[in-house]
Amino acid sequence: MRKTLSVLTISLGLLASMTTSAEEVYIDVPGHVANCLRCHDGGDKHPVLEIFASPHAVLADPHTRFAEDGCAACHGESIDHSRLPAPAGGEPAEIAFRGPHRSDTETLNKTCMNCHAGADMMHWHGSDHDFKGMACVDCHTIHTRADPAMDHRGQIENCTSCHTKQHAEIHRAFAHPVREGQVTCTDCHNPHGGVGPSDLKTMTVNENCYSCHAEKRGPFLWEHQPVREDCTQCHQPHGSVHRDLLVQRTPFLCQQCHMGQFHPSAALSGTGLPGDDLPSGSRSLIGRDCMNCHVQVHGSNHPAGVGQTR
Amino acid sequence: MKRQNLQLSHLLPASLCLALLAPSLTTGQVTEEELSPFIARYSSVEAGLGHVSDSGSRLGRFSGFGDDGVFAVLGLDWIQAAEFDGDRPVTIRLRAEDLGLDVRTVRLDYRQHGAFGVYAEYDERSARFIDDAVTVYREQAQGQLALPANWVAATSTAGMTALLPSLQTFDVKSDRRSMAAGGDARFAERWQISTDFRQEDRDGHRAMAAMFGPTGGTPRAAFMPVPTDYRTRELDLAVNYADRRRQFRVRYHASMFDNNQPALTFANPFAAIGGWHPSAGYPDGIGQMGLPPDNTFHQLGIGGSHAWSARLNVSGEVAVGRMRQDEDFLPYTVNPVLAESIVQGLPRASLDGRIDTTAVNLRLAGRPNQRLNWTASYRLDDRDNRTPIGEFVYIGSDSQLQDAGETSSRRRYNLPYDYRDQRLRLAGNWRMAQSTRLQGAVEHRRIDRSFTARERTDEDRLELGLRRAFGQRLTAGINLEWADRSGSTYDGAVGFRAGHSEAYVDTIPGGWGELPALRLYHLADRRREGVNVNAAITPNDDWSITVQGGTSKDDFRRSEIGLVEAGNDLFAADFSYSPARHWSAHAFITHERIRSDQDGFSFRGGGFRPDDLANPDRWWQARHRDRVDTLGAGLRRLFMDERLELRADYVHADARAGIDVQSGPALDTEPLPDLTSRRHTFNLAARYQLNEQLSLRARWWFERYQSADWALDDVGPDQLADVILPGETSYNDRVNVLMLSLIHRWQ
Repeated sequence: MRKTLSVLTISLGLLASMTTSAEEVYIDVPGHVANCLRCHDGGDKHPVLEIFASPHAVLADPHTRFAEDGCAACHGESIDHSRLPAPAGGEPAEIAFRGPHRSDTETLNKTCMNCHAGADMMHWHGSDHDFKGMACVDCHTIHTRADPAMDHRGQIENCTSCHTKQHAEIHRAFAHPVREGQVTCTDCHNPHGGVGPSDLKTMTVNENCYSCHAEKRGPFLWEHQPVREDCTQCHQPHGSVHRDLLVQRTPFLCQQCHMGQFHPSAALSGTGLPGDDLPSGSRSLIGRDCMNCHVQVHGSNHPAGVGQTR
Repeated sequence: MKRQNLQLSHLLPASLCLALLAPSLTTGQVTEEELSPFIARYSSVEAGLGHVSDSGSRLGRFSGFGDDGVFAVLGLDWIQAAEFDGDRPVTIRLRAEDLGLDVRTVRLDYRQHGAFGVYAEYDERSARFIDDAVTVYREQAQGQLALPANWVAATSTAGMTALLPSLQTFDVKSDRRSMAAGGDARFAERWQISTDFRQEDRDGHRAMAAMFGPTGGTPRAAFMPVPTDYRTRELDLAVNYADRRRQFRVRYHASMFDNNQPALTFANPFAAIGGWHPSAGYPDGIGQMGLPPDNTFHQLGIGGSHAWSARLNVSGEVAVGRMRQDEDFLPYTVNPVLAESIVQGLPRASLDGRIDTTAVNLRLAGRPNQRLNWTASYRLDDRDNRTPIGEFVYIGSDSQLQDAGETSSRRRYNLPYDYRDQRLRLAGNWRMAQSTRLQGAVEHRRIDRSFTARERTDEDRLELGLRRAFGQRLTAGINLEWADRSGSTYDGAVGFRAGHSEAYVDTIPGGWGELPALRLYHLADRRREGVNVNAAITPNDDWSITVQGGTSKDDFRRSEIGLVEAGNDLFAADFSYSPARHWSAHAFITHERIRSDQDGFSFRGGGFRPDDLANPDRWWQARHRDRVDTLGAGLRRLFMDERLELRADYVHADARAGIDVQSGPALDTEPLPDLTSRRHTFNLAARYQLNEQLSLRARWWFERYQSADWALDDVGPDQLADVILPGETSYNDRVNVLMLSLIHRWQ
């Protein structure tokens, strides 16, 4: 009995110290937020208080539900949880985004999409990430000043933590400057459901490439058919061991499609390497090989550019 | 109030009371002291110095560290953030990064939360490809390259005694400067309008060859600096509507490309050789190259998504567009002697090039219950090439008279390729049991093309995946892929016939240009098989390990010549360790093997040789074996009450590409050395908080890059007899970048 009384006394004392200190300056918070903050404080392993520095908690924003419902806007009312939380043997929040009591993905994503629907999120349903059961919070961090997924460098870490093949490819000798931070995943892809293949932001692969390489768009008088069709016929956009991000080393790549009489069909090998004398070596192998002469492989608009030499 | 006072463990006794009293104790207030550390938004300015030890390194290619010496470390992040309980929901932010480098960015954002936002951005990017490339050309006037006054011409570089003394250097680089502005605004509750405009100017030089010679047997070429002076403007406008069940969007996209230099004229450093008209050689020979023509692309798109019910969603996007290009044609030749021979002029003054594009992406997504979700999608990419076909009697590379004879091989027709790609896909994801998921997909893809060896290709694809959780700590899966591509009759001469006059084709034995047994790899029959196994292990809450391995094989089973087989093997593992927010580490390793086999047949020139075609000793095969190993590790740790932050990252990337060419006894082949590249990159960064406002930041970036390429290494500009090369070499360097800066922050 004495022990019970002392616990009760200490508890009430602590409670009093939290709520009635005369020197404290108080800030109004919406809903039951103050109640939540009694436990979800700065000492949490997953700190939550930075949400007050995020756009989600700008109370004067007429579209943020936090202004009206506070934490419950995303986590549900969670009455039972507020009475006795899960770590103390009680209930988890109604909608829990992390931890052992994480709610199902559909519930989590619906919570986010109550506000974040439309525009670039319009094609989320059925997109690759949705189909694979990913939740918004698998990439995004909400209770923070700056969500790493919204930062171009943090975003690369985020994406490559699952896309391990692409992670390796960006470190290859010939790659877009992703590791240098000059190009980032969302420059090309929309992870929320792109309108193009592989969740590209554009409707087709080539449209995407032309956004930085508009000089290759044409149309040209003398087209190179696979170039017109799809840049990835010859290029590996995430990185290659071959120069110019090519899928195969030239001139052998060219010879996979060009095998006409005379020089296109020649067996090029070490016999074409330079010898001790000058000049020596095969012009089909040394320097830019085929591109020593065929300099306009992406298409030529010169009336004499049939062989893409002009 | 100290943070520890709020620790859950200390509050457990109190929770008993709360359980009884809540929610009546919800006061709706928290103390400022409790929140202030978490709601503070800091602005910061960074200033310091950096030093790059060596110029022209591989690291400097895109990073801005291309030049050696000292540079300024300058950055700014000024923010006036909307306070969560403020009356004015406005955030203004000005960010400036890497101001001391040529990859700098400055961006200003203004957002009134829930109403509108606008931004303006300036961005510079630099790409350096070859430092100190060499050329014999000098810029005589804009768009005109000349040879030095004392030039000594010859039919081969061997006789060009003035070649090496005449060389001048230029950098092959590209500098992009872009300005962008845009914004978005909500109106009428559920509507939003957005716009973005970007203008990018790009200048620099490329290294391209000025080539002379009418045929593959008579070429001579010299590399020259080709200026890039491009401007691309892009505009996007969109009107969006969104409520919880339906969203739609109407958007417009325009892209306009302008090249301020449409052509480049150059002198011929070679003396005339057999097969050229005498006027084509030095000193009178001049040539002209067309540079990328101005072009435009406009696209209008309509998209929408509708939740038919809680279990069914339909979404789609339709976009129609038009590419245009109508730059005035250059003449067949700029050589006045050759031009006099022209009896059949250009069919028109410009291309009037036009491709109408239609793209459709429709998707039904269903989730009939918690166990099953499925999608059915259709995708169309149609490019209707409306460019008119013309008859061009071209003059081969400014080096011959026009041959307008009935059977001339120079009488050519441009081929405006049409393309129509359709994909139908059904996919399902079924949770068989609490811990087991089965995924499957069926896809059919049909592509129709014009003027190509195969009018139509069809590909069927099956995917199957099984994933199972073994308790809370281990999930493993296997994915299988099978695809089979075939199509209409393969006729490799379609393009050849369509591009030449009928009279000429009749003179060609067999009527083909490429060997009939050749199959282009993107059109050929192909069977693809692949398997991938993966596992995700979380031994405890601090550790995460993922492992995957896979192999795939492409069998071009009906290709006698061309790519006949390809495949790759991949092993990857990723580890992360994050015991606390003060301390995390990660590591990854990947091993890839990429292989392909291609077959060829050496068919000599000098007239049609039917005996060659019957000679099995003229076959050759190239076996490509690439191996790529990448491993990396990194850690981040906070010390001294979070006043000191340390980060370290290491990446090692090692690639080796081997090409083994084997041939029949009629040919002479020898091994090629491997192409290699090896990179070690080490990053170390430390940040020490001197006081509330000031911190010291130090960064060290070390990179060692080694590579070997037999086409470039030890190859001087006079290495080849008939091409004057730019002196390009593969990267072999070691560079240190040090940066030391002070960061001042304020609220």
